[in-house]
Amino acid sequence: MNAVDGSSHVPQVGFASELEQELPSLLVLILDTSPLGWGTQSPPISLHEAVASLLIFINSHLALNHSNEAAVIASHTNCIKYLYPVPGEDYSILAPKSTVTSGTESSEEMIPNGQSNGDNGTPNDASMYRQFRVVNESVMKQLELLLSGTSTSDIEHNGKISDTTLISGALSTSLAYINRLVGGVNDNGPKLRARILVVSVCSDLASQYVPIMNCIFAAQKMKVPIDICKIGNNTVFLQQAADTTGGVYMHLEHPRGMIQYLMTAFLPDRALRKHLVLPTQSSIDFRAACFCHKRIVDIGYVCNICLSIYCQPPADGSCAICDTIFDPKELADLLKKPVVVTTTVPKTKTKKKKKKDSDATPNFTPGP
Amino acid sequence: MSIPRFRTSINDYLEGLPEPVLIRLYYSPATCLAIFRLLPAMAQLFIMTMLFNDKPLEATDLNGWVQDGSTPKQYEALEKLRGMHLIKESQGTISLQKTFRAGLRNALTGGDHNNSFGIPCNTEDKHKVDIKFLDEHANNQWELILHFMVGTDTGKVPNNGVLSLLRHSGLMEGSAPSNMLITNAGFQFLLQDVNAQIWTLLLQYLNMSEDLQMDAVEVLHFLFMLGSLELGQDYSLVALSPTQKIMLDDLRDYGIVYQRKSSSRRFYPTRLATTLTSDTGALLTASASMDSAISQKERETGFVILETNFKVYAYTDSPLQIAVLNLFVHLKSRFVNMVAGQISRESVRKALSNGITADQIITYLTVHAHPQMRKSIPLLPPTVVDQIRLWQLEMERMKIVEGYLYSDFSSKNEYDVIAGYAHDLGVMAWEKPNKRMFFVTKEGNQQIVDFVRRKVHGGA
Repeated sequence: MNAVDGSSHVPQVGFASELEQELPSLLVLILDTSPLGWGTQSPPISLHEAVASLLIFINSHLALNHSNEAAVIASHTNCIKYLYPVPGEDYSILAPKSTVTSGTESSEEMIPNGQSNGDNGTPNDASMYRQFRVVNESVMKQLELLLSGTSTSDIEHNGKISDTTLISGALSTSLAYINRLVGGVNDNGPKLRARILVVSVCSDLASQYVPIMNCIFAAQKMKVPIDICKIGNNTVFLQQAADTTGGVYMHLEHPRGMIQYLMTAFLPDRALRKHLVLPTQSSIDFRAACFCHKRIVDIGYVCNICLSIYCQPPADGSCAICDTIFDPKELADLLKKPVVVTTTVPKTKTKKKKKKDSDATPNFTPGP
Repeated sequence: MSIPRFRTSINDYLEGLPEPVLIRLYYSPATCLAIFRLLPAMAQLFIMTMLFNDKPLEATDLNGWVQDGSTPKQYEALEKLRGMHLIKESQGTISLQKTFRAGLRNALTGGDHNNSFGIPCNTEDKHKVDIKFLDEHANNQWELILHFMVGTDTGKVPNNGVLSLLRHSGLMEGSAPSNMLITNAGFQFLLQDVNAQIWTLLLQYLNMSEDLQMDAVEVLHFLFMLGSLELGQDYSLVALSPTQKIMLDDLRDYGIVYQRKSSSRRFYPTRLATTLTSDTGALLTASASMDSAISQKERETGFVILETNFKVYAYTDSPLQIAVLNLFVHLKSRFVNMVAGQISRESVRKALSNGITADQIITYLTVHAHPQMRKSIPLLPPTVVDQIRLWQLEMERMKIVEGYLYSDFSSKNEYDVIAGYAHDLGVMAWEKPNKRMFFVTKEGNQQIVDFVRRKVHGGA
């Protein structure tokens, strides 16, 4: 009778999981376009080379499944910009011939296929799949606009040139975009499976510690993995982003072979990753940045109320975030330098130091 | 749900082609892309990894990439790649087939002047048509065929090309249009969705084209190219080969392309063409009726109500729909805008004996469920669904698997190792440990033989 009880052939659950396998995926690519970041790479890789690889990567992503979608967001020094899709443009209709022409012209030297310009400005129409063409042209055109519109004042920060970039802004924009596309409008469950890939060159993100961490936790909650493709120095918070959200962190040792890294490590979508052995990070830098000076700290001080991190006890004796006034006596204790005494061993603080005595804060009234 | 079906069919066809033909196919980047999309995800990954890597891949490296539990998937992927002659294996290394590699690279980078994605017309069409017109055209042409099949009297008869295709594919029999009758296969055909229907017809077309001395490679190139075209754009005939121009005439009759007149130098792909290689935005479901009174919206929402007491109410007056329902429902009464009937053991068995599967029936009911039904979860009453499946099981008391029997193992250990390997590959069909016998599928046999040979050599 076992065969007739229906359990083996009513694959309601199995069927659903089979469908899940077929779900198309959405890839949001965040491209760090900080000029200084790209300029100081060694071994060198130019932004153009990287973009060429990335475009092929995006094409490959779109090639995997007919319904796969992609978005590209540039994270610039002082702004972020959608490279594709550009808000307000309708890609479902044919681009007027003139736009197509200008798009290809500007991109000619950058895309590897640019040299075939025999046919009056529309060289790629017949030799490139439409979906690919639309994305590639849009990305090249918008990137060109973005870079040509950048002046030296844009990359200066407090008088000195910095390689920082608005990763936090780009992350939150992409999460919002994902939420809009995937979000609960459709009651049949999500239609897309989203992930984010950050291509990062900058090394210093400490000033954006809080917004980045917030994005990471939001992504974790939305079950959106953040993959990191890191060129140049390792960046603390991006390692944490990949680790927390279950994404892949990869530091490119040979940036010129970028396409191979992309194709092997970053292309598989979430359904396939279950079956693969993906590169993992052996050691993750879990350090945090302090809220007062945006410095990355090994050992710091934590507010006992709101858990804000400080690299040194606040000078005014109160938390800058929640305004809790700390006990001056405790603060004085914290600031005490170890005294070398021959008989007693000085008490050293090893780990993040917490002030335990909550009663010591006068204006804090504990709950019932 | 139609996709796996269509995939298997087109995949089966491609896998059946001899290697030289396949390699000629891979000369077109558009074809490479379309074929790439038909592959399982794991196979796609393997291809992508090898695409831009000039060195051949060590076969053992692959094992390192795949999680231990997913070996069957890896095996399946490699099997598929071998079947399509996409990879070359020699001395433990794997490399991509050269032509395919070049073709897919071109498709992704847009390099090379290959024109395989269709040449848009660069002059303005004086008789320009819009997307709505194309949809309507495709709809009318396709439904003309469907209605002819169910014998609706519309006063129009499809062209001879269509008739001979229907006859050739065994969907209808009879020599003259007036006495052609639908076959069981034809009824099954009606239950499929449009995309699957088109592929069924196109595959038949392929078979037929070989008899007509048309080159299958050119036919396939053209079909895959159509799948990558843009809706609403006009394309030039310049790059088409003579064979493909003949095809164009036939495809026009199916509503897959639109040409104002046969001497026109341009053609428009319709939605039927542009969704050929995709699953999204299929134009209409098999339910789409000829009744133009039914608005587009209602058409999409479905009309069938199925109750737990096996009663079926269908709000439709389309002869096509009623004919389809009649395949597996015992229809009892008909009203102006509705038919009512009952699903019974006899009616389902009749359908099953016509070759319609329980899954097809359930899919059909799910797809065409009335909006009122969509409020309940699960959509269809589980009792009815289970019962339909049980009725199918009644018909399938025996299952035939082709394969090989392994027996006479010298030790329990030897049996366990080899049987375990067969399990890992997912090719085990039956086993009896206490008699030390097991049975593997035909496809998996070679792997097991290799494994045994390795074991014996290793042990000796």
